[in-house]
Amino acid sequence: MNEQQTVYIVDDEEPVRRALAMLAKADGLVSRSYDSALAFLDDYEQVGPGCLLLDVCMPDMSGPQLQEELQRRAASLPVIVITGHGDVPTAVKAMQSGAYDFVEKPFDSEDLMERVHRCLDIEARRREHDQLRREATEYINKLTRREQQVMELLVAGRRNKEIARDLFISFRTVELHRAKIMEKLEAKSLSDVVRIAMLHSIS
Amino acid sequence: MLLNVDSDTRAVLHAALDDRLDLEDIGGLEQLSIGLEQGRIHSDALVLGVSLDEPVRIAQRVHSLGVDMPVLILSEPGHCDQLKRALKFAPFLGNDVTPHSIADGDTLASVLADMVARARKRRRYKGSMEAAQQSLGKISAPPPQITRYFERLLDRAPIGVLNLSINGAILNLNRHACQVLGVSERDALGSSLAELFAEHERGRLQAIVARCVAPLGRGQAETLEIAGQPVRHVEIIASSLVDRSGQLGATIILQDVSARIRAEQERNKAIDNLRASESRYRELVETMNEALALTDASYRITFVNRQFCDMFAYRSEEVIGMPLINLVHDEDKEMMRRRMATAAQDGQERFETAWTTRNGEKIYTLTSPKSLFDEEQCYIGCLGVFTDITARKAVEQREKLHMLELAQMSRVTTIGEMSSQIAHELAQPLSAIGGMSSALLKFLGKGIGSSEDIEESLGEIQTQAKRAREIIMRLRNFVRNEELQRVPVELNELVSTVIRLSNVDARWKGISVELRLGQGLPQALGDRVLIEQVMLNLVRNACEAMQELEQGRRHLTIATNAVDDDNLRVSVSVSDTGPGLSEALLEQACQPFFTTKSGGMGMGLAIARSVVDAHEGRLTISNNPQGGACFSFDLPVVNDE
Repeated sequence: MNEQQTVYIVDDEEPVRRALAMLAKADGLVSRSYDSALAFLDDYEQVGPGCLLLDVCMPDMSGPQLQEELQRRAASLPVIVITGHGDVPTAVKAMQSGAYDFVEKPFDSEDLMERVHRCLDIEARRREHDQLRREATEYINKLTRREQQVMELLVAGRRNKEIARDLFISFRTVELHRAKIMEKLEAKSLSDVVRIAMLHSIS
Repeated sequence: MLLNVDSDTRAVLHAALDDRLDLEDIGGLEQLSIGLEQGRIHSDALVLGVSLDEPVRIAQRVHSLGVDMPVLILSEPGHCDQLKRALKFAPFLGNDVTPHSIADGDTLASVLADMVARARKRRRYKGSMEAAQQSLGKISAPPPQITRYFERLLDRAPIGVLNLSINGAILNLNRHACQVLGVSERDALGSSLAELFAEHERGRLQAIVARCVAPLGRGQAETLEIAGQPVRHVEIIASSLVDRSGQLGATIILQDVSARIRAEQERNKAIDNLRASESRYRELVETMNEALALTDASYRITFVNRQFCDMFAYRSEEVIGMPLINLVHDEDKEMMRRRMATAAQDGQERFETAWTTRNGEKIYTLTSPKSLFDEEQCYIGCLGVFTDITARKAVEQREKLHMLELAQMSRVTTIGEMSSQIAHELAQPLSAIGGMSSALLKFLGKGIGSSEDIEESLGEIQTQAKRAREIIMRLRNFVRNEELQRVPVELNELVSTVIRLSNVDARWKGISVELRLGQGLPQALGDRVLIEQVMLNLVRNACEAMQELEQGRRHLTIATNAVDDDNLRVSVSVSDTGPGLSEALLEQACQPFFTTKSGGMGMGLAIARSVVDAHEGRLTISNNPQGGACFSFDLPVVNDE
């Protein structure tokens, strides 16, 4: 969580934009407002981690259209859809387009900000998780094929003797591989090895 | 002289009269005729026997041959009276034809003797008169003064007078008679009068003359046609004339009545025509589909046609004399009275009326009154033609009811449709207010944010609250106002408000709005809220129509104008530069539930139209010549009076 999270606001209603920006500011969040979807896309290069508060009904490019565009660009930015038309088709469309949450106008400020915070937390955790997974993969990529085989059996809970028998190698060789793995993975204990292996297997 | 006298009678006569009269028998009828014609019979009297079939005709023959000979007709006792009557009416018979019943044998001889004595005496008198006349003729004494005076008078008299001999020849005639008959005196004298008349009239003329000459003949005016062209008519009065020599003739008075006859003929023709046209009109009146009634000046019914009776279920004798107002339905009585009061001055235009029939049914007619005046321009009554429009009226009322229901339904539908729109509109300010106020609370709690920030935010909150209030007021007015509330409306001001409310600039990117507001417009009369709704709807449609255009080409033009056709009105038009409407769309656009929008109900324009209709205005949709659609509507203006 070293990177600053930003609340991105896209709404054609100026007063609503301002209110949202103020809410963010009151909660100590940084926000950036755009009066249309196109304006947001223009600024897309600058968009960092955070979340997007997106109005549905806007001229030129609607909220759902922007969502589609973001999906196309494989953007990971989570979207909270805010709509004045709280009807089912709009909600379904929003969720199908990968919205994180769906809020009707007029929104309850506390509720909205809770959702924003939750969204940001999850997003932050997701990013952290991603980071760890990436690191685990990096560690595991340092291991040789034989070392990876030994590690898999270790993680599966085999003893050194069993591993030696399974791989038709000597007990001593297993011990050497094991030491090498611990070293490469910068693991202090077997549990560290298990954690890294798990993170890797998820990705 | 005796003809067919039986031997008994002859014996009686012989015994009584043999010493005073010679009695001679005639062989038969033929002998008598020949003898009379040749003038070889000089007898003092003729006795006709009982056995003769036609004694009267024989007597007539004797007289027509001018033989002055008394005739005694013997008859059966029972036939004597009848014979007397016949003789009385027989023409060309003088007094000296005497019937005698053979029953009165005793008096026969004395009657015959008297007759003979009378005849002899008359013959003597006649002989001396002839002698005197002959001697007078030789002297040719000037006619007495008085006669000349009469002749002159006759010549100047404006009537034709002519004398006629027994055989119909003109003896003399006055000047006017010449004119009437169209002949000169020279040609006329001695010629036959009958020949001057049309051939088919000659018989009648002779009859007239014969009648006047006959005993008890009375001159009666008759009209005859004169020969020649143009056809002329003469009225003739004939009276018998006996000239100085005792010769029978006739005096005829002539009068040219051609003009009168022509006038009469024309009048008859006119009457015929009148009758024909009257019957034609009567037929027309009776067969026409419309009911028809005539009233007098006090609006009592004087005539109705059959259709009227059918329509009102009365018999004509029941309604005649009835005041027309009695038939008028209660709801229209007041109106009818007002019209009747002024009908004599004006009131020729048609109007609708409700009536009550005898069955108590309520019917409607289109009533066409026509005031009637006599020659002195006095109001004498009214003619009314009534067309039954009950069926049409029922349909109209059903439609009206239906429209009301539809309007009510569409109002509800609109509210439904509007609610999402309104919710959306309301969501904005509420979101802003909620967001800003809780943010402010946090600012204050944490002691962050400048006082300018806070003040500005509070100002914004106030603005948004006001905006929310406006939206709610609009909705409330729309829901509450079921009746049109007509108030004076400044149209230009309304347009500006709508543009501000609809927030075109902010909501619809890149649409330029041009207002072409007419100056010095009169105030419109209408329901402000509803007109606003119509405007909002048109503006929204126009904006949506231009969504697909590139930004520089989106122009919304709103114009207000005064329109002056018949009466002053104001109109508003909303033009866009969108794709316009196809032929089919132009037709369908205002139908309920017709929409081109994926999310629309299709009620917007239908409602807009019904609102404009309710204001007696017209919503028109057209395409601009330079492209795009133009929606316009007009409204009545406030009447200064």
